[in-house]
Amino acid sequence: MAPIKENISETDAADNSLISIEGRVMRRGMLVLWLLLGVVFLSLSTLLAIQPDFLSETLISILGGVILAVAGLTVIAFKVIDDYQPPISHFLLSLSMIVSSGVIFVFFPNQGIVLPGLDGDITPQLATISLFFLVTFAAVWAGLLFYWENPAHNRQLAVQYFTWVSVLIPLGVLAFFIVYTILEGSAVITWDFISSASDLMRGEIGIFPAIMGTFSLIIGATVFAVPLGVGAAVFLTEYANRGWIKQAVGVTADCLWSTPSIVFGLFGYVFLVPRITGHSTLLAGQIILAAMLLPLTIATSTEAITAVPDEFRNGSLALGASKWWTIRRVVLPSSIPSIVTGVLLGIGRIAGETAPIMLIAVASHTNAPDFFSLSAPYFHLGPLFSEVDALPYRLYAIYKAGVGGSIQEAWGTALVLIVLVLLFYGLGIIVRSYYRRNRGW
Amino acid sequence: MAQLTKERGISKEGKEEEKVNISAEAAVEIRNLDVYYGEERAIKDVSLDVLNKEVTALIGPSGCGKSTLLRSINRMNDLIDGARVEGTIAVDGRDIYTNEVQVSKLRQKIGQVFQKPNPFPKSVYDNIAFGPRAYSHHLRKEKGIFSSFKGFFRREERSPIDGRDMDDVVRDSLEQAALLEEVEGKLHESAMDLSGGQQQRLCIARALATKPEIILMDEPTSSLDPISAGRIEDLIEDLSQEYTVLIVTHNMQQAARISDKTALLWLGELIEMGETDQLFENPEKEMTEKYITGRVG
Repeated sequence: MAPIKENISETDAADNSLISIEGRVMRRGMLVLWLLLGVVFLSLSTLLAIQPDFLSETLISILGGVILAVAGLTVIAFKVIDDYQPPISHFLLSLSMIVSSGVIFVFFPNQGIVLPGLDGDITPQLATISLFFLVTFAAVWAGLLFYWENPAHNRQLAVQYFTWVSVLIPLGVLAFFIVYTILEGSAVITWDFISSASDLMRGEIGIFPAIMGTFSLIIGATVFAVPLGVGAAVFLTEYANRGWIKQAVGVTADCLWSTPSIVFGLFGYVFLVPRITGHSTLLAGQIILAAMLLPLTIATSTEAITAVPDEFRNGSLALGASKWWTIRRVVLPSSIPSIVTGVLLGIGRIAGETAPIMLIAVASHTNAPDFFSLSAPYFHLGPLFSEVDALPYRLYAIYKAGVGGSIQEAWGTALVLIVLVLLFYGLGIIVRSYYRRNRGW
Repeated sequence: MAQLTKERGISKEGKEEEKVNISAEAAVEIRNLDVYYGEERAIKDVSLDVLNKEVTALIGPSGCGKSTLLRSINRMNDLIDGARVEGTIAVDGRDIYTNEVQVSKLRQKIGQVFQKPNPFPKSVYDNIAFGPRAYSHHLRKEKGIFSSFKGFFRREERSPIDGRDMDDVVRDSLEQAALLEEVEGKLHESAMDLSGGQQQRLCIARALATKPEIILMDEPTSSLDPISAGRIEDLIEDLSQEYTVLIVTHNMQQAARISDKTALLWLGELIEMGETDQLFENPEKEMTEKYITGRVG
C-alpha cells in the first residue's frame, strides 16, 4: 500500500505546483467573496421572510444571479486551493449544509430555499424541486470533498457513500411526492368520489368518468400499439436482413419517441379529428396515444427478442419446427417479460399525458364511456366516437381553469392517478416474476 | 459396405449378428461435398458413409469443419448467411439438397444435440412434446386449417408422427434417454431447474420424441462434468442399438470408447476413415498417427 500512497501525494504535489500564485490569490478572493455573499443572501432571505416588500423583485433577481454565478465559479475553484484549512472537515461542512437547507425548507417554504429572483408566488412543487437540486448537489459535493481529503484512505468509503446517496436521493424524492400527495389528497377520497360522476347541481364531485376514460384510452392505445410494435420488432430482428431497414425504423422510432406530446395532439387535431367525426373522440385519443406508445414498444421488444439466445432458435429449428413456429413458441414466450415491462412503462407514461388528448379526446364532466349495457345489443361502439373525461385532464381543468372542484379535489384526483399508474407497474412486476420462474439463461 | 458391417458383426460376436442385415446400407452417403462460407472453403471434397445403427465419430482439431459437416446433414447450414453446399448428401438414398425435400421433415428425421445443453424455458413435458407439436403445425400447413378442428375437443393429445398418446411419447423418450426416474413427478416443472447433465439428456430425449432415424451430436459432453459426460456416453452406446449416431468430438479417448467408426478431418479434408479400433491402433496415414499421438493438432 505504501508505494501507492506515495504516488498519490506526489501527483497532488505536482498538481498544486502547477497553479500560479495569481491563480491562488484569485481563488482565495473568490472564496472570501462567496462566503460574504452567502452571508448577504442568508440575511436577505431572513429579511424577506419577515418583511416581503423589503426589496424590489428586480434587485432580487440581479443579486440572485450574481450570487449563483459566483457560487458556481467558487465551487469549481474551491478544490484547488491548497492551503485552505476549514475549521471542521469538508465532509461535515457539506453535511451541515444539507441539514440546514432541510431545516430552512421546512420552516420557510416560500422564502428560504427558493432561488432568488423567482416570482414570490411559489408553489410547493417548485420548492421541492429546488430542494432536490440543492440536496443532490450538496451530497455529491460532500462525497467528493470526503474523497479528496484522503483519496487513498477514503476511496472505499467514498464509493459506499456515493452508492447510498444515489439510491436514497431518488427514493427520497419518490417517497416525498407520494407521501405529499397522499397527505393532500386522502381527505377527499371517499367511495362516492371514486365511484360516481360529478353532480354539479348538488355540488358533489366524482371522478368515476375520468377513471373509466383513462382506462379506455390506455386499453385502446395498448390494443393498437402492442401488436403493431411487437410485430415490427419480430420483423426487424428475425426477418429483415438489410441493415438500412433496421436503422431507418430505429431512427424513426427514436424520432417518434422524442416528439413533443403536444405535437402529437396537434397532429391528431388537424388530421384525425376531421376524418373521424369532426369533434373530439375517444378513438382519436386512443390512436394518438398508441402512436406515442409505439416507439417504446418497438424498442423494448427489439431488445427483448435480440436477447433470446440463438441456441433456443437452433434447438427449435433442428427439431423440424418452422421459423414462424419457433418465433411463436420459443422466441416470443422467452421475451414476454421484457416486452410486458416495456409496455407497462410506456402505459405509465401515456396514462398521465394531458397535452395530446386535450385537443382531440377529452371534455370535462362527460359521462363514463359506456360500452356495455344490460339490454340488446349489449355492446356499443358509440363511446368510441364521443368525448371522454380523463384523470390528467381533470387535474388540469381543476388546477388551471378552476373548473369542477377545489384544489383538494385536484390532489385527490392526482392520488388516484398515481395509484392507477403504480397499479400498472405492479402488474408489470407480477407478470415479469411469473415468467421469470421459467427462464434461466 | 456390406463387407465392413459383416466384419463388425464377427468382431463383436453374438448379439450383434442380427444387425448385419439391417445395416447393409448407409444411412447417410456423402459424396464430394464442398461447403463454402462466402469465399472460404470449409469442407473440401469429403466423401464418406455413415452406416445404419452405428456410432460414427468425427474427430479433428478445432476449425477443421467437423461441425460444418454435421450441420450440412440436417441442413442447419442453411441458416448461416453465405453458406453454400456443393456435392451430394443422400439420406436413405435421397439427395437432401433438392427442392422437393421439406426441410422440416428432414430435420424431424435427423435429430440434433448441441454442444451446450439448450432446453427451452418451458416445462420438461413441453420440451419433449415440442418436436411432435411443431410437426403437427407442419401437417396443418400441409393439409389445411380444417384438419386442426378434428382433435380440438379431444382431451388427450396425440403425437402426429406415430399417433400415440403424447404422455406415452414423453415418457418413452425420457426413458430412452435414461432421465425418466430423475424427473418423475417433476414433468411439469421448468426444465431450467435441471442440472447440466440432466439438461443434456433432456435435449437427447427431445430429439428422440420426433422418432428420428439419425441423431447428430455436436460435442455433446464438452460442457459437462466427467460423471455426467460418462452417463451421456453410456446413453449413446444404448442409443446405437436403435439409431444411427454421428458424433463430433474433441476428445479422442471418447471417440475410441464409444464409436464404431471414426473419421479424422484436417482443415476441411477427410484424412482417414475406418473402424475405430483399427484407426487408433494401426492408422493407415501418417497424418492420422501424428494426430492421435499428439504430435500435431
